[in-house]
Formats: sequence, C-alpha cells, structure tokens
Amino acid sequence: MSQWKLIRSSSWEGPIPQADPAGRWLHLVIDAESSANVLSAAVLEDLDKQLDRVSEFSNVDALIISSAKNGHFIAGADVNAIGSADNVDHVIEACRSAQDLFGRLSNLSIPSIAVIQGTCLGGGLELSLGCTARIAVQDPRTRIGLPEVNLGIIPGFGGTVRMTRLLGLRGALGWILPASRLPAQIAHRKGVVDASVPVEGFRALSLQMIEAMVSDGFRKVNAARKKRRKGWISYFLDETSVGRTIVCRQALKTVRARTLGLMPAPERAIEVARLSAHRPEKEALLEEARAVSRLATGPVCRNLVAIFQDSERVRRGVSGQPDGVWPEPRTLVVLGAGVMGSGVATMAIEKSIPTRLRDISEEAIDQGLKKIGKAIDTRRKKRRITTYQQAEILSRLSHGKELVGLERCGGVLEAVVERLDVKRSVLAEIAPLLAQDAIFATNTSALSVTAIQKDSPVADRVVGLHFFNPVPKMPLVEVIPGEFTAPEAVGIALSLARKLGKYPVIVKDSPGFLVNRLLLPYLDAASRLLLKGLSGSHIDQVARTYGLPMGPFRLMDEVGLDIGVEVQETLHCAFGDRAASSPILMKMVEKGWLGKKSGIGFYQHSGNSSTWNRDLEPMVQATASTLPATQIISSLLDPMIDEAARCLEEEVVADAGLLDLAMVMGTGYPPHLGGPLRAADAEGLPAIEERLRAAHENGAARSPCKLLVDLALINGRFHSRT
Amino acid sequence: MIVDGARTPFVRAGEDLRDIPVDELARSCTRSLLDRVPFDSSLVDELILGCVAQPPNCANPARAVALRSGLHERTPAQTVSRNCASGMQAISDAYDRIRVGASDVVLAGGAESMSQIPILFPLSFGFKLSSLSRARNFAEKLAGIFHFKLADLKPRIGLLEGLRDPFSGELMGDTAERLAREWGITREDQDLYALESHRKAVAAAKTLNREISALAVPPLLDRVVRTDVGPRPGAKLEKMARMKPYFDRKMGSVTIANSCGITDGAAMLLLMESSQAVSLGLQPIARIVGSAFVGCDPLRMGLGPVHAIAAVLRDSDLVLGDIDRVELNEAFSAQVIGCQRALENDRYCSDAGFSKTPGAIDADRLNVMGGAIALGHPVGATGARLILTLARQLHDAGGGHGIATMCIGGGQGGAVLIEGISS
Repeated sequence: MSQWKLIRSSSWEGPIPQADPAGRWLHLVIDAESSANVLSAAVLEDLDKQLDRVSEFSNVDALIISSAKNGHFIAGADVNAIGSADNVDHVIEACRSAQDLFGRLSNLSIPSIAVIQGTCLGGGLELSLGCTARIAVQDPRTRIGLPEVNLGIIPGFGGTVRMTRLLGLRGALGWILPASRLPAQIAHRKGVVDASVPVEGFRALSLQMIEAMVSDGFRKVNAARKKRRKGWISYFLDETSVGRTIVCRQALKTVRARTLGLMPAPERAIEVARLSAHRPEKEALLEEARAVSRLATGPVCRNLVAIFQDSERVRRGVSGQPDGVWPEPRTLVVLGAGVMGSGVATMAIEKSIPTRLRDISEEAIDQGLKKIGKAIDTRRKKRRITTYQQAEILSRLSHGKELVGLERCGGVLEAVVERLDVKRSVLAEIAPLLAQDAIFATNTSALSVTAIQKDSPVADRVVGLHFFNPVPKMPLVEVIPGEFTAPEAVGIALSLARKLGKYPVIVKDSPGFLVNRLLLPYLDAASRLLLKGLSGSHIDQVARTYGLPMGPFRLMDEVGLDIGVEVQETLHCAFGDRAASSPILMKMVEKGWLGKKSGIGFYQHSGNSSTWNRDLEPMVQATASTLPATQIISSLLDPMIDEAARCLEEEVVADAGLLDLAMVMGTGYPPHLGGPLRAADAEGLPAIEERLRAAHENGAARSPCKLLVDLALINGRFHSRT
Repeated sequence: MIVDGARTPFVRAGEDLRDIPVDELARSCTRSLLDRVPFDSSLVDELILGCVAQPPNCANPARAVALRSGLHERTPAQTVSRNCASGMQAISDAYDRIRVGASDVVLAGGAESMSQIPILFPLSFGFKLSSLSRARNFAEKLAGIFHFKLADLKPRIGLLEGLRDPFSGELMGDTAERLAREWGITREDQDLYALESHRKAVAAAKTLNREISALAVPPLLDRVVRTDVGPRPGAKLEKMARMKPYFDRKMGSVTIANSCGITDGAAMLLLMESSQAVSLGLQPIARIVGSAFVGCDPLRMGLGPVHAIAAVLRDSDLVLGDIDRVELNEAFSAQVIGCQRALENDRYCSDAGFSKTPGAIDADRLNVMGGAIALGHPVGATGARLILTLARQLHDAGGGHGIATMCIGGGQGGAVLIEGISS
C-alpha cells in the first residue's frame, strides 16, 4: 500500500480530501506506516513515484502536502538508519537523492505548499523547505525545528542549505545550532513558514490562503521574505565575505563555549551554512551530504543516537514493565519541603498536578515555598510562561503543617531526612490515612526500600523514587521496587515520573541503587589522587575537558560532603573494602567543611565565585606530583566501569543501555561518549582490566570483577553490536 | 450542614496581602479547605462568593476561584453582593439552594481586597479621552487636548466612595456618630468596648488560628502569613482616648481606634445537604437553622442587627435568651452598643418585630473572641468569617444555638441562626 496518497479534489474537509476529477487542487497526503510519519527509505521512494504522477494532472493550481495523522506532520528521518550508518558513500548517496527529491517539489509544473499540523522535525521540515511555500497550523502540538545537531549530525536532506538560502546565514544558524522545536506562530515570525492559521477549521483557512498565494503568483509571499532580509546590516552580514566571517566566528565561539569543542556537528553546520550563503546550491548540497556522511559514520553520532534510542525506550516504556496510570486530577502530597521536596513540587505544579507541600516545620515550608516561587518566577522572566500561566501554576499549590489531603490524594512523595527510623515512622503515620489506591513514593538515595516498607500495612504500595539534584535539571529518576512492592505501584510510579517530565529507570533495591553506587568509586578515586599529591583543581579541570559537567571535587562540594560520607558508609558496609571511605572526607566533615552549603569544602565558596581550599594542603602530606590527563581520567573512571560491570552482573539494572542512559541523565556523563560502558567498549576492555589488575597488585582494594575479566579475555564488549 | 471552613489571615489593607487579588485570597483558603475535607471535589455543585468591590479585570471572581481551586469546569460559580453582608448572603444563598434541593454540595463564602479597590478618575476624563480619539484632523486633536482641565484628573478614592451611603451621602462613620448621639453613647463607652475587643481577640488567638490557613504571597511565595494582623496585645485606653474623632472632628466620638479596621481577607465554608454529608462519612460542625435580611433606616444602618435578629428568631421557636453565642459584627463600637441599648428599649424592639423586649445580650455570650474592631472587616468576607467562627465555637462547646448578625450599609440587617453539632 502506498504511504502517500495523491488526490485531486475541489475541497478539503477531512484528513483525506474527497476526490473530485474536476477539482483544482492536488493533495499529496502522507499516511506512513510509522505512527509519527517517519521518512524511511520506502516512504521517500514512494514520494518519488507520486511526484512522477503530478504531471499527469492538467488544470490543477497547486500541490498541497499534508499529513493524514492528527498531531504529526513528519517527525523526521529514520533515527535507526542514522545510528547504523557505516558506509560514507551510502550516506552521501542517500542524502543526495533526498536532496534532489525535495528539490523537485519547487520545480514541478505547479507550485507546492506544505500545510504543517503537528510535529514537523528534521527531515519533515527539510521536505517542507523544498516546497514553494509553507503554512503552519497553530495547534499546540505543532513543533517545527531541525534537531539534527542533538544527534551529532547536521540537516542533510538539503535543510542546512535551503534554510540558509531562505533566512540568510544568521537566521539559519539560529535554527540549526540550538536545535529548538518552535510553535507555529514563532516559526511564522522567524520566517520559516510563510503563514500560520488557527487550528479550528484550518483546512478551509489554508485553502483560502493558498488560493490567495496562487492567484497573485506568490508575489506577497516573496515580498515578505525579501522584506525580512532588507537593510544594510543584513546585507553586510549575509552578502559580504567579511560579514559572513564575523557571523561564523561568533557562532563558533558560542558553540565551543557550550561543547568545549567535543561536538563536531555544530561546527560542520556553521561551515556548510557559510558555504551555502554564497556558493551555487549544487555545490553546497554536495558539501552538506559529505559533511553528514562523515558525521553519521563517526562515533559521536553513533553514541548520541544510541542514547536517544534508549531514552525513547524509557519514555515510551521498556517492554515487560508494569503498566500504570497516574490518577489525574488527584493531588500529589509532598512530605518534606527541603531541596528535593520543593524541587519535585515545582515540577508537579508545572506539569498540572495539584500538589500539597507538607513539612513538620514552618520554617522549612517557608524556605520550600520561596524556592518554588523563585523557580516559577524565573520561568516567567525567561518568557517560558506568561503571568497568567504563572498564576495558574501557583494556584495548584497548597501547603501547611497539617497532615491532610491524604484520603483523596493520588500519591505521596516522601522526601524527609535520610534516616530509616524517620522514614519508617512517617510511613506508619501516613498508612492509615492513605487513599486505597494511592502510592507511597519514597525519595531515598541510599536506604533500602524493603527496609522502609517492611511490616507496613501498605507495603505493597511503597516504591522508591530517587530524584537527582537539582530536580528540575536532572532528567533521571531511579524507580526502585522493594521486596514487597506490587507491580501496580511500580506502574503508577513510572507514570508519575514520566508525567513530571522525567526518564524513569527501574533499579534493583540494593545499596546505593545505581547512579550513586557508580559515582562513589569515581569520587573516591579522585580523593586518592589528591592524597598522592595531585592538584585538585587540575583534576577537576581534566574531568571538565573530558566532557563531564563538573569535576569530582566540585561535585562533592555541590552534593555536600556529609551526604557523601553517609552514602559511602552504607556502601562500605555492603560491599566491603573496595568501597571503603576515603580518610580525607571524614577529616573534612569533622572540621565542619561540608561543601557549598557550609561555604567551605574542597573549594572556598563566596557568592558565585570559588577558589581551591588552600587549608587542605596539610591534610594531604604528599609531595606535589602530576600525571598526564589520560592517566588521570583512567584512574577516575576505571573503578566506575568495574562497579558498572558488577551492577550488570547483579542485575541491578536490566541492560547496559539503561545503565549508560542513567549515567547520562543522572550525572551528566557526556552523552557524546554514549555513557561509561560505551566509552569503555570504545577504549577496549582488556586495557581497562589490565590497569585495574595492576592497581590491585599495587595495593588497591578493588580487583576487576568476573564479568569484566571474562569480557576482557575474549576482547568482548558490554554492548553487543547490532 | 456546615461541614468545615477555612479563612485567610485578616491583614490590614496596604500591608502583606495588598498585592493579592481577591480571587487569589479566596482560592488559597478554598484549596486548603478542600485538602482538609476528605471528599471528591468534583461533587461540588456550585460555588458562591460574596464580594463588594468586584475587581474591574475579573467580572465574576467566583468563577476564577472555582477554576483555580481545581473544581471541575462544569461546576458553576456566581458572585453575590449585599454590601457588608455579601459573605453572609453567599452562605444564606447556599443554604437556600440546598434546602430547595437544587444543590447538594456548595462552597460558599466571601472575599475582599480592600487594598485593591481602584482609584477612580472622573468620568469627564473618559468622555474627553473618547472624543479626542474621534478627532479627525490636527486642529480637532489640538482642540481636544485643550479641553482637558486639571479637575478632570482629580482622583476619587474608591474605598471611601464605597463606604458612603448613596442616598444621603453620609459616610458610614457619620451614621455611627448619629447612633452615639441618639443613644447617649460616650466616647469612653466606645473606647472601653474597643479595648475589650482587642483583649478578647488576643486571648483567643490560638482558637482563631485554627480557622486560618496560611497564605504564601504570590508570585514569589517569599512571605507566608499565618496569623491575623489586627489584634493589639498592647492596646491601652489612654492611647485610644488621645485619638482625634475621624468623621466629626469637632463634636464626634467615633475614632479609628473604636471602629473596625480596613482589611484584606477571605473565608470559605463547605455546605452540604445532611444525607450527602452522612453518605460521605463526614462530620459536620454545625447546621443552619434559618437566615433573615431586613431593611431599616439608612441613616441608622448600625441598628440593622436588631431587626434581623427579630426576624430570624420569629421563624424559630427560640427567644434571644436561648441563644448561647452571638457574633454581632463590630463595624463601630457605637453601633454595637447602640444595638445593645435598642434591644433593651421596648418601643424599638416592638417596632423591630420582637413580641417581647429581649434585653441586651450578655457580655459572656457576645463576640467572645473579639470582633472586627480587633480583626478588621474585609467587607465581603466578614459575614462568612462570623459564621465560621460561630460554628466552630458551638462545635467546640458541644452544641447549642448561635446567631451571626451584622449591620449593612444602606440600612439593612442580616442574621443567620445556626445550631452546633458536637463531634
């Protein structure tokens, strides 16, 4: 069956127009096999065939391209195909043929107009850019953008070139580099689409608009495009070589500041866009295809695509996971108004969940409310929300010391102090009041969920939901079923996490769960390097250059050293010597150096600036020494990889893909490396195993685990390549 | 049945709550009330809000309250006004709606932001502005501009205009002065009464706090108000005596200290048909027995409660002596004392419709937790606050009857008779 329908019609009422052999419009409607109209090779091939047929129709005025699916125009190219690209020539060929195909749209005997309702991303927008004109529907689901750089490539179906020719160099880079997905009106304001129409009755409105465009020969559309690029500043920046150099330099500077030069795609995008601004289209398109072929076959793109695929898997639900639906519009009761509690409450009210913030202390409530108010006001200041929306979001919040609202709530999120007895007594207090079907989610970072829920009358509804700090920024949530947790509760917890905009990963109820368990060996390794006399700020710098969002010492200061020690104690008890606490941490905590919250830790914090804490030197008692950066990185990361292998062995997490995703989403591990296990695969496991063994022989408590040794022996990988 | 109620703290106008619009005041206590009562809020059949100064940018604040409190969009909402008794009107309406079987569950109460009552420009300013906008050429525009006079910009304080009797042009305080003169109420009587109001409110602060749901000031939520700002623990008679009369500067006796405060606040109650409350397993705190509104002389509007009490008792088989608690709104000391004196006066009482002169209300039954002189009088909210305070008192006392009554600007009295239900 054809995935495109070519219909001659005189009207346009439903998704599929009524055929009329005498009609003046030719509708080309996509209704692909995939739910979001993905441009697979078959879909493109079919489009080619349908375009061949266009010349068969005479006396038609325009070709109207639309989607039969409500809420999806075209979601983009086939991500799986991008991720598995390995032959440069094949990629060039695929890009060239798609470029030519979309180019045909503006060289037909009749003008072509895309009517965009719903997601129009990547390849979908590139197809639209090939058309004579574009109309966007002001549907809240309409999102228009070129997110390719997020996957480590650049728009390669002619998007980079055609966008530059449409908007000029500055305008095009403004779309391609931030990879944003914008609604219809903004796309119209920025000139990517030529008109936007209200969603109600958009088909009739679009026909009216198309009729107007066709009748004046697109004169008004072209005049509006020209007007947008009028003025001598535009002329200077887009049409002169000096101007283009300035624009590209500035763009490159902004990009490098963000990516530290680790991401090649945005830099290629700048080069190709610059070329498209002044060279013939043919040459620019060829260069675009070449750039994509090199990027798509490179490791960065492969890793980014893999992480994206895993994140989609988690967002949609890993197969075999329990189903469940958060019971809207019921309230979420957040117990504990600390950093975590208020963070979750902020997310909840923003995502339309009525929320009650409860704490036993009025001061804590005041502080929590202040954080929420500030966070939401920042969104308004950034113009993400209007003042009306701000008032609406805040109106979902109630607060107080009283333990009320539990009988009708959808669930409770407990974020009180990290002590087993406190958490158990809170649960005991809540249990008799809790609604029959409400879950009790406990935000614990190291306590055993089983220990918390044991003997509770509502044990089956207790589930661990471990958020990461800062809650609004960290996309990961560890979902931890305890021994007595019912699958239904896990299902609801997963649904709640997704509703909050998070990526939930199910993790076994074992000490430190997943992310903290993997972070600690890394932090511990950093302290040990410090004790060997290496400079702490240098170690942090090396970690930053590797791509981590912050170095180990800065991270410890951020989290709080006392919390670090606490978690390490838990892990030490569970895993023995290989997780022994670092002596320097203990000493610092004894001194009251707790990190950012006490103003001093590894760094001395004052206001927004911080300097390395010089008073640490007497504690180190070692002569200053240095190591090459690669050795520092491997000393930091090898223990983490060993611990990750142990987690796979013990089935703490279902597979290596989820483990890598969790580290990227929960700690900001550089996504272009694909997570710690993919990075280890790339480096080669034998080398890592060798180093760990050598370190063990030199006195380190950790020896490589069985899985790592076995894989190293056969030169295997954590991720089997498909 | 009154299932439960909640209110915001009452705060002097221009202070902590001044930036909060009236619908947000009511929204905040409605959410807390809904949190507190374990039932499905989609069962609420309607919301009625009393409000005098309805904001120009929110023509029906009740609807905003309903939507922002998370009620179902099908739940209708209306705003009602009977001047100072608007909140009482809302509850009386809710009672009627339930009684005739039109609704089973109603949220009713009142709210007022006296801080946000607008300042008005004279209408002549608006007329001139609109004729200027119609000017077609430069000459006409220039002429239009020269039409403006400084007097067109003279602002009128909306708050004061609202407190003016529209028939006689007298301020409410002037009517209180009249009562003081007619009934021979001295300045000292008034100051003593006011002092007592503060003393009782301070002593009852803990009980009053149970009605209050804390309010975080949007949009930054950086301040949380938890208690009434009004009762003065350090109120002194000598200090009060030194204040100048506000309304009649030369001969008067009514001062700011012996009148109610200008205040922001809201109070909401949840009312249910009794079988509905039973089937939901809820424990109501009180039952409404009857309500009455009666007109009286606008120039002596302060005596409205006398007429209203007579009317509300007439339909029951109770006399004033059977009533355990009376919450009589303290608009002015002179007005409360005036009511007490009128209740002792045979002629006035028979005119008002009493079959037998009831005599003044015992001090230990009248406003035992203080009143508007200490707490303030956010006009639309006070009626609901009186009923809430009364219902809770009777509930705590394990039953008995009570009347909440108030005088109404323009010459009316309102009263609601309730019976407490012990837990």
